[in-house]
Amino acid sequence: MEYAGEATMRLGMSALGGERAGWSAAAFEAVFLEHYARLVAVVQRVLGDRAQAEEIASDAFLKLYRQPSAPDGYQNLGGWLYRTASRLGIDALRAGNRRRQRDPEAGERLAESGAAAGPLEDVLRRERAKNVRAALATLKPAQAQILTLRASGLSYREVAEAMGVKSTSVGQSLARAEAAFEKAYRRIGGEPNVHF
Amino acid sequence: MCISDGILRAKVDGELSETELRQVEAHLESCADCRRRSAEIAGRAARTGVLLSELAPVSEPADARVALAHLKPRLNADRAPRPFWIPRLTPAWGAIAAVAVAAVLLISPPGRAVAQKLLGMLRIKTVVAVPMEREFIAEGKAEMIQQLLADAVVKTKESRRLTVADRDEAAKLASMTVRLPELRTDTPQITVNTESAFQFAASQQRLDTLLSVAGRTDLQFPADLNGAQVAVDVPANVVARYGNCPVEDLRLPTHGPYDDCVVVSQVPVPTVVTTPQLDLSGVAEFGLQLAGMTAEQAHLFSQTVDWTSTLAIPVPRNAATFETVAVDGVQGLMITGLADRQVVARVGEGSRNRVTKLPPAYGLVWVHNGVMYSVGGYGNPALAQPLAASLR
Repeated sequence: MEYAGEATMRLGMSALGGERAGWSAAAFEAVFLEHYARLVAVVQRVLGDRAQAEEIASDAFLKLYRQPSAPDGYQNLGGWLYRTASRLGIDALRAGNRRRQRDPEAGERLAESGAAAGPLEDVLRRERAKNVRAALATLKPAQAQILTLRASGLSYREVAEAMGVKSTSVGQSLARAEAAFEKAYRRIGGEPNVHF
Repeated sequence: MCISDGILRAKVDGELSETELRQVEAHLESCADCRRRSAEIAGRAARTGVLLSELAPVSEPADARVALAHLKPRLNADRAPRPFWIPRLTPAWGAIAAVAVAAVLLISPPGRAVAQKLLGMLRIKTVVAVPMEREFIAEGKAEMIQQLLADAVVKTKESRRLTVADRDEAAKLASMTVRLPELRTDTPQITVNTESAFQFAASQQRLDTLLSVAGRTDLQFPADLNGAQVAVDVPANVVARYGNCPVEDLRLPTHGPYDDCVVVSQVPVPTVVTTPQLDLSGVAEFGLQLAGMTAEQAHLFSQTVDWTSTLAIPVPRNAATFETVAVDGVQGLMITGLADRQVVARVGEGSRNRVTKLPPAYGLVWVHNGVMYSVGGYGNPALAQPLAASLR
């Protein structure tokens, strides 16, 4: 995946004189249209809730718009957006997880997946998704983030850009995150009544 | 030397270079321990991959254009939005600034000795609606132009907003007679905005930027705009809010319905000081074209208006209707059906923003005895005229 639209965006930036960290409408629009749907998909993985995912993706763009100065000199906007949106998503997941532990009813919305209720397979799939999210919520945020980004199809280079690390260290972080995830998932699967 | 977990993991994803891959495979052949770890890592990666794939969204991709339309009103919502029907006569000048641009760029020719002398004086006597193309608003150009103006403006007096107890206190603070609608028997929340003043200087560079931001490099600004100055003074003014109105502070939650919300504002007409030589209708034509009119439309329109005494209020062409009505012994402008306004409020845990659609709004604006009044609300627009007529 290439961040092809960034050239357009930088052009728009220099059209404004280049001195201000401001956005031209066209430039911002180009960046938004380029990344929005994929950001929503990433956050929706984390949360399972489309409306909330859309809201969070929009919040990430709002943050970008309001940055007092150019993040990474506008060289890595895609990475910045993935980092911000996935982090917001994981924070929301963890907050939801804490709420569910206090009040099991509160988790209903979060547990919804896009599929309509129906055959047994749907129910099982939903149960698994619920457990996966519960496991993610117990990981360190950065580990949950790297797993989500990689599962969303980002290459190591893209993951590295999003996480602000060297691409040579992605494999190592991923291996560790997977080990932590497997442990957490087993714990949850083994004691299904702890979190639900 | 054995191979790190990171390299073994990258191998699973095909993220190793060919050289690296050859070296790793060569080592694996000779190292049973690494083979075991490699299998373990690959197995875990596969299991995790399967589990995480359960989370893949099954719905259609999100519609970015719709989302963008929803986001736009929030982009510049750092400052509390003011109901649209209260004319914004501050450096932030207008929600839709294009025509206000025409009003602000009342400038003198460069090079002339009079350039710095501010001789002319405008007194607003009437208001007029200017139909604006919706695209102009939708593309956020108005915000950019507003920003551009804000950058060029020097505030000489900063307005402060004060909450007062009642009409008498407001009248005393603002040094004006405060008129309130007798039709409303409930107690209004009254605020006074203290006097503000600002100056603006037009330069070739600013005007060029303005045109390029507006995407209208095909236009030419009147030559006598370059290098000129304008000074605007907005006297203290009074705003009275009745009923449940959308809160202006974005950090506070806001809840409808707003049917009973009525906002009455009154401001002694601002003074705009500039040189008398300037061809105001020429400047106005420029502003109108900027706002989306053809040259011919702009010319015809600008001929019908005395720009020295008229405040132009931009009205989205397709989103609202407007008509001239008799009010308070003068001609007023009634705007209805502005349905596309949205308020951003932060609600609930984590205080994330939500965009709330407001019901259709109306506004009635007129100038009487040197004071500009507006009555606006979200309820029944038929109430505007009786409310205005009941001002005492």
